[in-house]
Amino acid sequence: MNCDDVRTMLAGYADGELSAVEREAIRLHLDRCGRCRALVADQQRVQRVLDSYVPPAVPPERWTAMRRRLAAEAEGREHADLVTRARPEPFDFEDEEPTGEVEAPAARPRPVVRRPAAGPHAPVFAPARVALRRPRRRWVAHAAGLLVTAALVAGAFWTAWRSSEFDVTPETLATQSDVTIHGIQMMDPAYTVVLYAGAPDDLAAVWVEPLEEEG
Amino acid sequence: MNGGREQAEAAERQAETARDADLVRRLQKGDSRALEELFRRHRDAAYAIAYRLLGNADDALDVVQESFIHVLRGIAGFRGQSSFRTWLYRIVTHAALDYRRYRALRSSASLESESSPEPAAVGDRRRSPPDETAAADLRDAIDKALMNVSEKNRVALVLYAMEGMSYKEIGEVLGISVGTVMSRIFNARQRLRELLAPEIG
Repeated sequence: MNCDDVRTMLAGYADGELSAVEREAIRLHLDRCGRCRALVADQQRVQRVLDSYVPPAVPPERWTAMRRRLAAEAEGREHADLVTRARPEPFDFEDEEPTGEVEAPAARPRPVVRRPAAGPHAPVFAPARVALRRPRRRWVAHAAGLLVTAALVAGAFWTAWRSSEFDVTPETLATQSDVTIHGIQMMDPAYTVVLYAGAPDDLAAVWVEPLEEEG
Repeated sequence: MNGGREQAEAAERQAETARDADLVRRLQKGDSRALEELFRRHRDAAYAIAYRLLGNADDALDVVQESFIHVLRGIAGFRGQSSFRTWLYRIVTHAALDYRRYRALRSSASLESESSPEPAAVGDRRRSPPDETAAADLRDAIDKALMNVSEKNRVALVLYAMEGMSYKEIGEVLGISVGTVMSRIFNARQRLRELLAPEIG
């Protein structure tokens, strides 16, 4: 085996991830190759540094807030505590997290995402920051979302009905219909609805979300 | 001796996997306490992965939260073809990479209109004692270096740096062969060796 053959296996050798046969083959090479021995030493040295590196500790209240968020999600209900908090607040339940290890941080203001304008990744993170405070408005938003959904679904059925009635070809279908539904997606339990409609190169999205309380 | 320890560790890992599988079954039946326990068992590792991929604690916590929400929403479709841990790490990895791209898009879009927020750690560095400051300095150097390793190589190395994650598991998480995992980790560490020369010596 020459150096090129063994080089990419040196990480596996350094980490003890090779089979006995592979390990022995590499060991025989290393016995007579100082350069590859140095590479193994480099691999181990970097790994030791990484092993000693730990991310900054997380204040217990951040975990607690996250646990509450998940519990709310699991129960399928929304409440004001779903907002990502700018500052920790006292909790009204027994907190089993260890306390006193880390001082509560003065968290930097977080950007609030409202629209999926930045691309396909935006909706993944936007709903967690939506504040829902008024059930009545939430229902308005739900109703609006359902109406839009119904309208687009009806449009699709209308298109299908017309195409069967007049026996049009798929090529002419697009000129007889304004809307083709490509997908409907429920983004979170707050009934945020995203609808994609239009011709393939004329994609449109409708984003419906509950309003925040004013003031 | 070493073999005995490895056997004990393997048995412990197996027991942990079985425990996760049990919790997953309970969660699939609607027991939300099971989610809480899964969260407790895996949140630190999820955070460590996200932090090492993003280099920012607040962003990492966002990713952890979204990942567990993703777990909750997807648990009904989880068939246990991989372990829960592997599945979760895959979710966290993809969420962190998505988040990174998303933030990059947002910051480039707002470059002219508003200034970027200052990156901040979870704990306020100015209030840290001197020894912690030294550790934080090394961490900053590693964070910076990691961000200069190519994404593919960095992800493989970060997953390896997690306790007990084998090349095989990393291959499952990333959908690549063990050989590819090995070469990516090798390349990532060689790159770090260059970038961290002042710290490593």
